[in-house]
Parts: sequence; C-alpha cells; structure tokens
Amino acid sequence: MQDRKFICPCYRHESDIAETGHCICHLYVNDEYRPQDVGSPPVAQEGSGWPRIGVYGAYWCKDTVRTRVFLNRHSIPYEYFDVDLDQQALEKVQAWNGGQLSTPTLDIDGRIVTEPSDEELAERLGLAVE
Amino acid sequence: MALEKTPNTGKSLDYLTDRARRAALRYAEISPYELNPRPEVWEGIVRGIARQAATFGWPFCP
Repeated sequence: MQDRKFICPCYRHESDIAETGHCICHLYVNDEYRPQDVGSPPVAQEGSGWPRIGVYGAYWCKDTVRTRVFLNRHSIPYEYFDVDLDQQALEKVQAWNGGQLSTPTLDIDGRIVTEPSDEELAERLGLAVE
Repeated sequence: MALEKTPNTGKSLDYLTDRARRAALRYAEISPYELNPRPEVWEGIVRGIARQAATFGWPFCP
C-alpha cells in the first residue's frame, strides 16, 4: 500500500518533532512544545458593517490557522467551529463540499467559501489587497 | 475507484475512535514523545484519525 507512510504516526513525525517540537497534526509533541495560540476571535461590534462569518476548521489545519490569523489581524469578528469537536460543524462542512472535509470552509452571510487564500478573502470582505 | 477492503471496513466510528485513542496513548507511552498537552486538541485529532479510518480504511494522519 503506497499510503502506508501516512498512517499515524506518519513517516515524518520524528523529523518534524525534532525540528518544530510537534508532528504535523500536533498530536505528538516533545517537551519543548509550546501550544499554538491563534488568539480569540475579535468581538463583534454593533454596526461594524462586517458580515456574519463562521469559520469551520481544525486545530491541525495550517490553512485554518492562516485564515484565523488573517481575520484576527484585521479585527474582523467571526465565530469559530472546530470540525473535530463539533459533529454538526463537521456535517455542515461535508454537506457544503460534496462530502469532502475541506478546511477551512467559511460561511460568510450564507455564502460558502472553501479554503480561500488571504487575497481571495480580502477581496470578498472588501479589504484593500496588499 | 473502489476502496480496498481493510481490517477497518465496516467498523463503527465509535470503535475506530476508541482504537485510535488507545493507539495514541500507547505510542505516547513507548515513544520519547508526549500527546499534545491540551486534551481537547489530541482528542479532536484522534477523532480525525478515526474518521480517516472510517472513510479510507486506514488511520491516516488527518
């Protein structure tokens, strides 16, 4: 089976832990590990004009972390749903993406956006693209 | 393409989650590594691994 190397613990976990303190999904860590802290979603201010945003993602997903950091950096309020801890969130993401668990998936005022780049997200939110 | 039949074929997600959890705890015992210090994180990842086993037949990294 060609994919055997991706069975947990995956083939690269030892080198990843030696390099970064954690394996790629953050399941196994060494004693130098510091948990990643993306920060809390900014609090929605009444009349701020931002759409309602739901971010559906996972702790281990780099693109989810990138998207949350982008929203936090621009003080854009959103609600975060972890698909590993919230079964309803998981089912929504799969329904929106034809059965695929694609993260992050964003619900922006009812419009579903799957795995957007920062540039695409900025454009959808009316931010000036850097 | 049909998925190959594996020892996980037809097993319930609860069963696969329990097995993935036990495997993670066991590996943390016998390896030099620890589980993520945040229990909700490693539990979530374990569920992700079990979901991989249910979907693809093997407990792949999520």
